[in-house]
Amino acid sequence: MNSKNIHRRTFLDWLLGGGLVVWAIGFVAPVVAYLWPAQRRGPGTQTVSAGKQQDFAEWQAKIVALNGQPVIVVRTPQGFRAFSAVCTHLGCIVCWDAQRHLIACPCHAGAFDIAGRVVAGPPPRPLPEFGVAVVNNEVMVKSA
Amino acid sequence: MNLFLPSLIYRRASAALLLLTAGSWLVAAEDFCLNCHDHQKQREQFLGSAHAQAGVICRDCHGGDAKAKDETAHLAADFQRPDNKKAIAAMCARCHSDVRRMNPYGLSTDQLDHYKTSKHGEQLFGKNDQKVAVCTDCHGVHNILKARSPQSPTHPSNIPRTCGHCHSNATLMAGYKLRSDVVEQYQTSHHAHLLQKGDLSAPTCVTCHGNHGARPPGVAEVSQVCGKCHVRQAELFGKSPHAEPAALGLFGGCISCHGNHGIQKASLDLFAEACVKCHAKDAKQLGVRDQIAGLLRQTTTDYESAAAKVREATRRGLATDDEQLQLQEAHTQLTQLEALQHTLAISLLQPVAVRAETAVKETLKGVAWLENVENWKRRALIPIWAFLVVMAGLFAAKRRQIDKREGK
Amino acid sequence: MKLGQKLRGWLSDRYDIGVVEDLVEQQAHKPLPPHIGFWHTFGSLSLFLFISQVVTGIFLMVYYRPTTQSAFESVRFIVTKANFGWLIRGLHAWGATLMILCVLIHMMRTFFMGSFKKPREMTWVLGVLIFGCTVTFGFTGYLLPWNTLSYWATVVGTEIAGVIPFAGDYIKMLLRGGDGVTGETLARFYVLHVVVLPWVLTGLIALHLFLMRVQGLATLERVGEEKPITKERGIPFFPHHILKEGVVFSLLVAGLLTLIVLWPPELGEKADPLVTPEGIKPEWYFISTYQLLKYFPKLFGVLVSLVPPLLLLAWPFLDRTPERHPKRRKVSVAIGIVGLALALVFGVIGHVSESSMTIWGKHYHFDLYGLPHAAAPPGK
Repeated sequence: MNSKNIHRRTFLDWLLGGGLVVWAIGFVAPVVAYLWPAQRRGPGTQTVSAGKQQDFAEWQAKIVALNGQPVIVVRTPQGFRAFSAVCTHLGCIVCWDAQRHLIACPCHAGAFDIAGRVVAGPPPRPLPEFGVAVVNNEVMVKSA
Repeated sequence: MNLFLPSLIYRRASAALLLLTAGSWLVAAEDFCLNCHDHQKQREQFLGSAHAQAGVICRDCHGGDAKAKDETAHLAADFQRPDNKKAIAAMCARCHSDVRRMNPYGLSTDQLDHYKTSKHGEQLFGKNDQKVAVCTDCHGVHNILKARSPQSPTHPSNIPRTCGHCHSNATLMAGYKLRSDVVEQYQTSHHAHLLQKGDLSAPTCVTCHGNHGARPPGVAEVSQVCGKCHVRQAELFGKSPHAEPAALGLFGGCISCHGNHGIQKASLDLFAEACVKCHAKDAKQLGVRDQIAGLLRQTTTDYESAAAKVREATRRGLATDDEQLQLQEAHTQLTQLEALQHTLAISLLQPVAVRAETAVKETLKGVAWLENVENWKRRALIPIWAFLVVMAGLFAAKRRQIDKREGK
Repeated sequence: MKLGQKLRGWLSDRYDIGVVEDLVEQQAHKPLPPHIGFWHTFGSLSLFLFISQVVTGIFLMVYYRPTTQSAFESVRFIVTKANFGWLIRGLHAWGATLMILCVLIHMMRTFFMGSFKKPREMTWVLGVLIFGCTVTFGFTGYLLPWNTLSYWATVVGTEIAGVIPFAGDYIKMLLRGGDGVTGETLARFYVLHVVVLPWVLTGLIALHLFLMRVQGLATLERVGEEKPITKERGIPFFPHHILKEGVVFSLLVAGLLTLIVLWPPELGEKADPLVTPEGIKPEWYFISTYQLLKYFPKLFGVLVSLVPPLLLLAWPFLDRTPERHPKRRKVSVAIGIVGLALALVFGVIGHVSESSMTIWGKHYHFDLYGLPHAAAPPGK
């Protein structure tokens, strides 16, 4: 064997070996990323935090997204309540009427009370309710 | 032809049968007329009626004395076979205007008062017109059912047909110079469509015209009538330059653009048809129309095209949660626009349209970002191909090297 | 290396590892016939793809939920939220198509080169069973995303099973787990797809590979006149042939990734049993059979469609001529080409049937049987 052949063989071997290692990483890294949980709670029951308890004054409300749907969270003297923010009439997103303490729809003047029941306007059904719990000072909204 | 022989034995036997089927209260009613008289048709009708359930018997309306031994004696009492419509109204009112009597049934007692203010009532009591409708024409005679019952002619789903008995009769209506196609028109309307689908809150004749006090709403009252259900639109209309002329009765308000009986679902095409009915030569007003219609059309088109893009992206499997939320926001603004247009105030419409367009823009930005990610994936193919082709080359080179080494 | 030698010493003190070492040495450097070329790589490509399907399938199972309420949503989670979930799912979906394609091409290569002849008839029979298993994998897996295409293709597919005389209705009931395609069907197909079929196919492949290894690869010589492959004539499996496989494997990975990125498998819409879409067709590997069945009344159609698989299974026992080289087997090769052509033609007709197309400016609607009719241009 002349030294030239040995040198070339080693270089090719290094390249091949290095390429195989890179290839192996290219296989393993996405798999590890895939297996690492994408969300703290998986695709099953979804919860979302509406913020800290202190961020809500009494009779204040906020709209958050849960599973791609808007949810309105209201702080009442008796605690937090959460409802779907999609008006049951024609699907407009409702807002909080702080003066009347009602959930109002800007489209056709529908209104819901803080139990989700229809009190005015054309909505045919009450707002579906979601569970709310205060966990570690966070206001957590849970899908049904 | 009556197939049953009117023998006394038969009558007693059928009465016994009735006792079995119709309920125990009949046992006590020695003066129940049908014990002797056949009246097959009226019998069947009456026994299923709401009156029968409430314990009303023939005598309560017709009077007479069933216990009397012969027909002359029957009729000698206060027997009446009402053939005059004024008499019918009085007969029904004997109970139905009696507050104490109607209280246990929860029925109101102002029907006759309302009726007297109606067009029907005016004709009957003012001109003794026997052709108009009175209680029995709408509610039935012996087979009166609760209005809640789907078989009742006064059930919402049956109202158009009931009113149509007279109001679709061309000859009858011609005598009053009234159109006879109103029910037909109504049946083509969106309101009728909703009623057919089973929505009992959909308006029927009586919703707008009233039932016992039925009369067409005066021109000035139209917005109030439509506004009973379309609250927001009526409220906003009240802020428009059309409000005053409508209140003064100078034009028909809602029905000038939307029609009255054959109302269709409102579309942007109304702008082309309705305004020119009065404003044919008002360039300024038509300019306002064009502005408003243009704004609505643009916002609707933009919303729908964004919605289609999001639908397509979702179908492909892209993560469109945020974009769907933005679309809902845009939809909310667009729906508000559709009501707000009744103010005819472009200054009120523009901020809402801007909010809608902003939401649409955010949606499209989001979709574009998702597309961008897909584009980066495609670009990444280049270095990946480069790497893999190099690896393939290295494998081939190593093979060649080994072959050379072995002298092959 | 010292550690390696230490390990070897520890093992040889307890077990007769010489046997294993000799076997590995023999298998690794086993000489292969020198004529092995590009077309011979499809067997190992099929094997690679099977391993890929198992691995990506296991990963998918981490997030997939086999119930009607969650199946579609879990696939949505995988492709939109899980990191590289789109890649894993894409590898699995395209891997399925490529695996069936590679198995088909491998089968055709084996057919045209007469490798199935004596003494390798059983290897061929196992191969046909492997093909049937692979296609069943495709059928059961197709339902799992629970989208519109999945659902209706399964309805159509199981209806066809119901046409089999006597047993048809029972088979249909057993497959569907009820009268219609429901969550029961999903559960059954899931069990078949992730437990039953993998074990069956692993067993079949193991046997197939064992027989192939024991008998060696066929050459193009006549039956009974095969010369043994000596080390001088043949190509060692390791490292020579492995390196050639490496080249093909690299290109396979590149091709697979390209397919996933340029034509990603779609999510679709969640299955709605109440809305029947128009022109539902099964996946490409069933289209020829599906179209063929349309031309015959039910029972006759089933019998006709059974002919190709039965022919395939029986072929080594029907074609017993000693020639392997395709140039010297004109009849067999002609039959093979005709079979392929028929499959392709029916496939194409099946693809265009029940759809509309614009060809050279004219609009056509193709009916159930693939016949074109002049149609109105597509509307607004």
